[in-house]
Amino acid sequence: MAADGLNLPVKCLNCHSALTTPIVCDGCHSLYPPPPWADHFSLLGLPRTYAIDEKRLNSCFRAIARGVHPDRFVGEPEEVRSLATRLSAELNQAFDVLSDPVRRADYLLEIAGGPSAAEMREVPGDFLADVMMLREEIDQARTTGDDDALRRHSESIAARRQDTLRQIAVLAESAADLDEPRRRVLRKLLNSMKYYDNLLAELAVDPFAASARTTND
Amino acid sequence: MAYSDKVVDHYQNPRNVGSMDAALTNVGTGIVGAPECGDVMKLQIKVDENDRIVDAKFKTFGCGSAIASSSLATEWVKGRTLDEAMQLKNTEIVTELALPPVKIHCSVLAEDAVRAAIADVKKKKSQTQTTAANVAANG
Repeated sequence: MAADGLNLPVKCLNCHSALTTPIVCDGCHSLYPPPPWADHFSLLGLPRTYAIDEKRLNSCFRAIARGVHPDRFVGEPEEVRSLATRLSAELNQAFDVLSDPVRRADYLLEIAGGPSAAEMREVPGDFLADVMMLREEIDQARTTGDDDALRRHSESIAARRQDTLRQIAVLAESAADLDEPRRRVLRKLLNSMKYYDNLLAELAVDPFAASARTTND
Repeated sequence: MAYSDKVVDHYQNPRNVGSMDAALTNVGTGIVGAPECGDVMKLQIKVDENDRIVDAKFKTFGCGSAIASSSLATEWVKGRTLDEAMQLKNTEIVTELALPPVKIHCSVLAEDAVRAAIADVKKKKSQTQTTAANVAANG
């Protein structure tokens, strides 16, 4: 398996310069359909790792996005133009996934063989009961106008989320080497993130703007 | 997204909102969640000595469809036996509330919550019976 496409000696078929991404040549602007081994990381010319350099991610994305931008190919044949459109969409998708720490970890787990959120919906231990209790306590604090309690909840939930994200980072960094039980642990941790986000979103809502307290649809 | 009238009705006037003492042996509690949207649902049932559900309560933190699904589920399980309530299908909730495809998971959540609550109360009952039997056997 070509696990890390960057290590392959890939050269432009047209001008023979070395490619930093398999989809476009920096030198002559030739476009190539993504090879079957290409993952989100290799599209962006990055090594497959969780600990990503955000500045590098951004600069690589901008440079490659310019290279495959459909505006560059207006005078070209239809098949080149449609390839540019397709590559731009795939590059954007790759960037969206990799620039989000949770989605990046989820993607590394997916490449490592899953399970996906659809295959396994569990969360760690008593986590759901905890979330339910926190929701009830937040409701209670809202009703009684206990702003101190709301602030404490915000801080402790944000801290728990950070802690979970740290555990996710450790596992995701070695996702390719994890056995199935540990991939399932990673899945459970990832599954808990949306609950934290909802709790924090709920706490961020202005309690005086009653009309704004509609639930997500 | 437009909600059906029935969803709006259950959302604005939810039936059986509340909590029961989860420590009681005749109360079953099911807490379930949907990782993709972060909704969390608690559904509780109280049974009599004939395993008939005499009361049901829920608390749902989530979208209108999740609230309506759990509200409807509590209405439907009341008066049924545990075995009858096990037959509740999420598709019945989908039909009754006219849920769109993207909201079907809300009805699945309600079905899961009912099943979890039933499993919980059955487990408690078997434990109490075992304890009672042990007490009887060991004097």
